[in-house]
Amino acid sequence: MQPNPKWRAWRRFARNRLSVLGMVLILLVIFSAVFAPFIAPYPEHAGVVVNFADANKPPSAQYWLGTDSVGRDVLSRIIFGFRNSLILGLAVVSLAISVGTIVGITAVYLGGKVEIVLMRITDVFLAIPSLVLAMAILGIARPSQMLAMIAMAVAWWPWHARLVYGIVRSLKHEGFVTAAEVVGASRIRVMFGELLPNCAPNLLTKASLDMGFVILLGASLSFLGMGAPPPTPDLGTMVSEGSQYLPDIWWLSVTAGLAIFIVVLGFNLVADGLRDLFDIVG
Amino acid sequence: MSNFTLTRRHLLATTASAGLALGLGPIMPAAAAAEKRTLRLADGNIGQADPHKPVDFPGSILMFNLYDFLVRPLPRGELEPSVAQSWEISEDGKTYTFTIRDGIKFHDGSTLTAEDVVFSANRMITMKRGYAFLFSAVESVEQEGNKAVFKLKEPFSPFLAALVRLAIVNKKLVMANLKDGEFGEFKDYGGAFLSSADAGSGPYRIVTHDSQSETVMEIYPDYFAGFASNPPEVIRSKFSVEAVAVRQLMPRREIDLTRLPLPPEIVLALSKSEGISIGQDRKPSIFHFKMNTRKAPLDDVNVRKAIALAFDYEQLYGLLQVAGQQQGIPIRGPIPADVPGYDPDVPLLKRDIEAAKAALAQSKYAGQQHEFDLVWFKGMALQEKFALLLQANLAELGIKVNITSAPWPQIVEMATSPEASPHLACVATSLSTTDVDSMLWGEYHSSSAGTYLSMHWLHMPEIDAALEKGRQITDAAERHELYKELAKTIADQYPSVFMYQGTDLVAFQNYLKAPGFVDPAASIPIMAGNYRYDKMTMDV
Repeated sequence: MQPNPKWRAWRRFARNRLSVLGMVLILLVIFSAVFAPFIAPYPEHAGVVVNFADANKPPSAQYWLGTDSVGRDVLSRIIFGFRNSLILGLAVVSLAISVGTIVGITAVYLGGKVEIVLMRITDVFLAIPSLVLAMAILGIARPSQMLAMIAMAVAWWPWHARLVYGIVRSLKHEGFVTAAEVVGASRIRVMFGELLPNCAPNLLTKASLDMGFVILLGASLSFLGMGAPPPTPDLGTMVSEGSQYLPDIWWLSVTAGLAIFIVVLGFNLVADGLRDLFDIVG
Repeated sequence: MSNFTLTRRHLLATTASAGLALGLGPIMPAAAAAEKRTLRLADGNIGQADPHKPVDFPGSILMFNLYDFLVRPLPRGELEPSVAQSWEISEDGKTYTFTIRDGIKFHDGSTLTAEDVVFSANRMITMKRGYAFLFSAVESVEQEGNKAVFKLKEPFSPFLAALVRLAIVNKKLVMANLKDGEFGEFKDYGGAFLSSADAGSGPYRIVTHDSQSETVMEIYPDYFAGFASNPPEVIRSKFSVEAVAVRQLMPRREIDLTRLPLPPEIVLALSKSEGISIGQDRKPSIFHFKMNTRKAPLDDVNVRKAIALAFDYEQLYGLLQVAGQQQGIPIRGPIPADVPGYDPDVPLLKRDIEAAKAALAQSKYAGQQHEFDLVWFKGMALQEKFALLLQANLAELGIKVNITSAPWPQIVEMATSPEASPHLACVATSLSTTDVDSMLWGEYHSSSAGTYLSMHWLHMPEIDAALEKGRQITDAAERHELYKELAKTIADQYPSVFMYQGTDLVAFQNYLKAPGFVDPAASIPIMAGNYRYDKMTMDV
């Protein structure tokens, strides 16, 4: 009997034990983020709470990861920070994939001047480092979570445009595309019904990898004071705040830094597994 | 052929050495110069050397050490003759005649004369920079032999106190170094020259100066007023230093004295380090949340009152005890304690959330949702805690507060118009001279609008009139009563949440004796008044 294709895919993915570890880490993070109000020991500490009397307490039975400089529980803020990081990552990667895919497919399929214009615009954006571009965009207005997402998406879509452009270009003259054109399929149908599904494995793998990078970029922006405004729990901001008091109040930076590390590591390991699964080269 | 192979260990060692050399380069040479008593100051800001331009702390430190003045401030706000040996005031209070002390030499060896005093006063008044606003009442300045005669348009009682900000520059040296500029025959008035050199007669002289990174000064042994025993011989003022760097470098004896706002956490850590003491710089200053009275709904005094009543002062006071030192005391209005006009009988404002809700209900904006912008100064981590506390307090009134930090130049820019000013700005104000006028005029007189001092934009004719009258009254008791009444008028308008009267905590090595930071009786109560290096002793 032929094994179930999903089971086969899982076995192929699970051959890499590290990918499974990554998957577990991500699932834990997602679980924490979704059920943050129920898991966090002090969920109210994710909001407007100030209690100077409990400020800078080291890890203890009461506060497992200690408290910050205004007396908020660090563990609770990290759990809520996961939620913000995941929302940020998902929003940015979704936006970047949407825009990048449309640009990449359109450029190849329409060709000519449209291709030249779209891909040169893409090249211009690619030439600017993502962090610098995001900082420049964030510099024009007051920092907010929404603006940070838009800024990062603006910095990120060209990578997806390039990826899709390369894949679609290699598929453009394949038989299934010609066949679809011969039977009278519309351009939209060919682009998004025929070509796009063939990009999915690569996009999924890159999206998984990008989640980690985007969360890291978001943390970098927050570290530089361009992330979510207070009192939103934000892992990058927590690292930044804690860095002012090193080495005495080490638990702020170290725990928030470890939390970022876990998320990024998880997505990177999963991306490795997906690459093996889809047998993507390079 | 070389048999050298680059191992990973070599690479790491080389990289680390290069990093240390680049990163600590500016600090390490100071350690090497330890044969001379070298004081290394860590400052968080940048410093201007031209004594007639800055109004900030680092510029004031340079000013007080490089230059001399007709009078110098003393503890308890008194004044002592300095370049002026004596002075006379005409009966109408409009003419001040100063007799210039003989034998004072500038750093280039030339003699300081009344001509230099006249030149310096005219330079400051003409350039209209820095503390020029303290001299707006001056009609003319003339030399009469070894006397400098200041004629005022009207009696101006804070005039003597203002003179602690009139640095006397060497006219010949400045005139020999003029560049193209906007001041007619005086060209740039020596602005370019004095931005990197000194033309003073103070206890120290500039060796090198870069306003962005470091000033090196050396002792001027011929200083006419003398020095404390074993004074520092070389001063290295390092600018733009961050508190976290102080935390790392001070226990390693690479910083001797601090002049930047240190978060309580750092102060506490330093206080536990061997050989480091914590002192207090007791310049009268007030920490505020300035409320922009030109922006709705803060244009309604009831809304401002509600905010002032919602603030949790008691919790804030809990922050003021650090490492056994008091970094502030409760405040009773716009005038700090021990300053003329301060009224100890005014009750302290206390958090009263019900009264706050009642005040909000009385406002013309009752029942509306409010959202405020709050900006704090990025260089001062303590202010973020204040901001978070106010944010939490106002949430109880249903008011949302959006907190952002901004670097100082951006705050200065915001202060230029009511539209650009945020609803709430966290700032500190302090006395520039020993007179209360130097604080209140800049904050509350309508002619001074547009600086960070007046980000509340509260300007009322009766406040202007009282401030103008205060400048003309010469009787101390009468002035005290006037400013007391004025303080009440201002407080009733709730232009600020008056948080507390601040005292800067200063860290210094035990081998440095700086009397102003240790002994309240020796403290000079103006900005930078305690950073006189000639009064310090280094037992190294």
